[in-house]
Amino acid sequence: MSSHPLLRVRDLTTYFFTDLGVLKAVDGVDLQIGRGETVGLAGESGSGKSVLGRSILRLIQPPGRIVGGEVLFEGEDLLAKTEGEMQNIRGGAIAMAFQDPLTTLNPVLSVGPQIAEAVRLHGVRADDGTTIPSTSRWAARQRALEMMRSVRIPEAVQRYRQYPHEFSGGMRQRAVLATALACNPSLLIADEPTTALDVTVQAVILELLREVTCTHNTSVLLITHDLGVIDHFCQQVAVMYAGRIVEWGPTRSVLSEPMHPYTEGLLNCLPRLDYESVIRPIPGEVPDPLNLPEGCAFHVRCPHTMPVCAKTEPRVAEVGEGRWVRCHVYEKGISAGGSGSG
Amino acid sequence: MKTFWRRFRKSRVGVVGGVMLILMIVSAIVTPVLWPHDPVTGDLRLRLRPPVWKDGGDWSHPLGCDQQGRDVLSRLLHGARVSLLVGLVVVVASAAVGTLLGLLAGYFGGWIDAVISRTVDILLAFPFMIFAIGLMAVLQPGLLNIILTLTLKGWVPFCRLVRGDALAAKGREHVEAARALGAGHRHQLFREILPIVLPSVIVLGTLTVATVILLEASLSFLGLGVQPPTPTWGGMVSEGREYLIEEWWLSTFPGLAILLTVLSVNLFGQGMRDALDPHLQE
Amino acid sequence: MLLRVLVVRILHLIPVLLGVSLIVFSFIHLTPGDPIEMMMGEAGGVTEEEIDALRHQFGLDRPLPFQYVRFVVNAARGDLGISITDQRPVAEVIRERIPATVELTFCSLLIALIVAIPIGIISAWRQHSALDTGATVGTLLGVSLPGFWLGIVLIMIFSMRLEWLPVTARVDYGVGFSSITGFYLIDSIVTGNSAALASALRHLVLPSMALGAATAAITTRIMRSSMLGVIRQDYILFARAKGLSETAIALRHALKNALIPVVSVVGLQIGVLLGGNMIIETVFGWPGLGRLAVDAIYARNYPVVQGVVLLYAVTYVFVNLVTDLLYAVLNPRIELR
Repeated sequence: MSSHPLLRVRDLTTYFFTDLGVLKAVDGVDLQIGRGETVGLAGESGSGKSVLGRSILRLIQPPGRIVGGEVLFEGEDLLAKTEGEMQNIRGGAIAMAFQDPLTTLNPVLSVGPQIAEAVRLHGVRADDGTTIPSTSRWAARQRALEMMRSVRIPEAVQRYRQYPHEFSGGMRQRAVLATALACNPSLLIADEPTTALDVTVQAVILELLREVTCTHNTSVLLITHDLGVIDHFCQQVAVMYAGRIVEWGPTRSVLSEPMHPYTEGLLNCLPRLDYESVIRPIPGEVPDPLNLPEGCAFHVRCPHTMPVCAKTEPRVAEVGEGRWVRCHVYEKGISAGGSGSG
Repeated sequence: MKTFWRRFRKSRVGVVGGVMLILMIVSAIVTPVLWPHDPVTGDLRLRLRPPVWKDGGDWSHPLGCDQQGRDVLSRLLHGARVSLLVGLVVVVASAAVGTLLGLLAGYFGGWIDAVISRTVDILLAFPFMIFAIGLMAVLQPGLLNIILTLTLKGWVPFCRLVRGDALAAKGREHVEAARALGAGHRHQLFREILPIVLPSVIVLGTLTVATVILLEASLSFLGLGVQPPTPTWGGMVSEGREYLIEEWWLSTFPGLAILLTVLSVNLFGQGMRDALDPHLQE
Repeated sequence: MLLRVLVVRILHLIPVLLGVSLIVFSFIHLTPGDPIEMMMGEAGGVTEEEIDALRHQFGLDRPLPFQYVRFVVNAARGDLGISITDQRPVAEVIRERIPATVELTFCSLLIALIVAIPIGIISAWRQHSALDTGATVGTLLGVSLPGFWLGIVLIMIFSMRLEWLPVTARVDYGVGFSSITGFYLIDSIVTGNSAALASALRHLVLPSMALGAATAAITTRIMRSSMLGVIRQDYILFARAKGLSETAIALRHALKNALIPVVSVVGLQIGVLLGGNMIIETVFGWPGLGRLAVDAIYARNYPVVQGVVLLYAVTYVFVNLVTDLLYAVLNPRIELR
């Protein structure tokens, strides 16, 4: 991995201060993405993965607030920047795409101008890092059409003027991607880009994503609960539970030899198509974020739980080539023979 | 039911409105009995006596007397009876008629719906005061006719609301289940669909009381409402117009009474809305 | 696409207009008293034959359906009967008064919108701020105020105590003024008469405020709540993620969406304004259609009353048509039924 990662998140903490209590959505997360690298952020609903994505771009609104940490993008801490500086970065150097393309696009505006909008603001970043300002309306429109073609939206010129409800679901998501990638960002944060789509369409979108990002060496943070998608697309994966990263490493390695009991559990939940297997759901439920268990947040549901798990939170330990786990089982070299279960 | 009261109590606005409303209703009903001054016949020797805080006023007539020597406070309290009575009767009648027609239109559809909806559209074409003035040319002013006029326009919003809700409710599972079990029209309408639409009707009803009170006051102001010498707030405001310069209180107090009453109804209605629809926005 | 909407809506209008005319006709027919006798009034000395002749001339001895058709046909041609009190055609009497009412209604609506829309937008974007709280209180008062009372209070304060603004009429007596269209604002601008313009505006202020207050309150509320709903939407988040400034988001992305329900409400409010100007014109002595109707009903001048009623209803129907079209323009998603 490159020694100068594009994005380096250190101890990022985001809390929501609600009437019912403090919701620790993101609780001290470390993350790293290199140039051109694709990183998957896996987790179920309530794990905090979406909040993490939004925190990176400082899109958190009250009652939420980023309360601590650092987000180093190209060496500069985004949390220290002014709102004006952030507005320059959003959509330009870092772009984000959200889950449901029907609600992500403004229903009363034509699709084309929504794509062109970002270009008018930021210009287009060349692959070598310089920016080609494309702020004239005509140039922005050309760029938008170009993007529509690159994501394979047919009849781009007619479609430019159309409204989102006139597009099919897959086409809409492609339009969203076109918007996000229009300025050729260094980093794309994609929050569940395939979840709202049918399986066949998912595959198309993923291929498109891969193609486009490979061509321009775009880094991608892919947030999803679908491990299959991560397996297919991401080089690295971070598994998130109750606001914390519990496991991190190269995708192949993590998914074939999961170390954290939660990762294991997640994989056991997936039905396999190639051979007969038993689905073993993880007992218990995702914890109430306002009322997290003492000690390790997962210990209540964990098959390997030890007395210490209920008292102290585990710290992150390196357990191999670029693999990190947050679990008492791996701390200080105690090995309870945990890796790989049947 | 209990959850309803709990949620209602949480709405400060609603509670304040509710308390104000209760006070007003009580004072309207009880106090004219306790406050002896005659609102209809006056003592001309007391003509235009000022309220208690001005020279010449005293506590026997704390809000002064009008141009015919009638005690203003007493007239206000009796006027309250008119306004509140009209408000209540009109809303109950409108809600009843409107809900029934809305249920029929939404549930049966077809030509029943067509006829009812056309009627609704036609009635909606008339702004209320215009409709009232046209109708008042036919009927002569009076309490019953006011109630009739207000109800003739008042049922329309209820009908539209219930029709829409009934259409939506028709597709709901328990209604379909009842139909599958062989329930007749009557059962489906009143046992299944009506309970669904009722909360919205109640909310609309409370807010309509406010509108009705304002409209009744406007009609009385124009002299098309309940006729003198029965005191009405609108009528009092109108009669006080000649005396705006010196005896400004004659028009001001009745107007204030209207304002406070309508305000408390609106606050109460807001509380009802908060209690009945767990609200998604502020 | 828009043309289709237009045509469909116009087709829907026809049964409504017929229904409206039917109602007005029944109002006319059910009013007590014999129209011929009322017209003749105290004249006396009119023989039975002459009364019968007149009755025949006006078609009053024909069956009802015929009379109805005659009524509709006449109305469409602009013949609304004869005013009882001054023996002139009702249509003429009405036409004189239209500009005054239109001016008043238009100004009230304008003031209401100028106040309501910005306040509604800002209240939503800065929820719980001082402006928002003030707006909430203000709107609550605004919808609870009786319009006629507000008018009277305004007169008391601004005309009588402070003597800043006038009470009645549309223009100061003695301001040399020639009226071309009847719309004093337009006339004074066209003739370059600034004294008249100032005077006309001064006369418009109080009645417009009194008439527009409730509309301002309701519109503020709907603007605010609509905007609040829009702010929560994903496309606003996406716009922010693109790096747009808050102002750009509010104006380019949020506003159009938020205005959609507001248009419907404003359309309804115009109906309320049309009704309300009866009251306000009475309070302020404004020589418009509203006061004409009120005076007419006191004088039992029923042809005038029903003429005004018909005009208002028909106007309102067309206003709703325009509102529907505007709605369709703003919201590209609506389908025709």
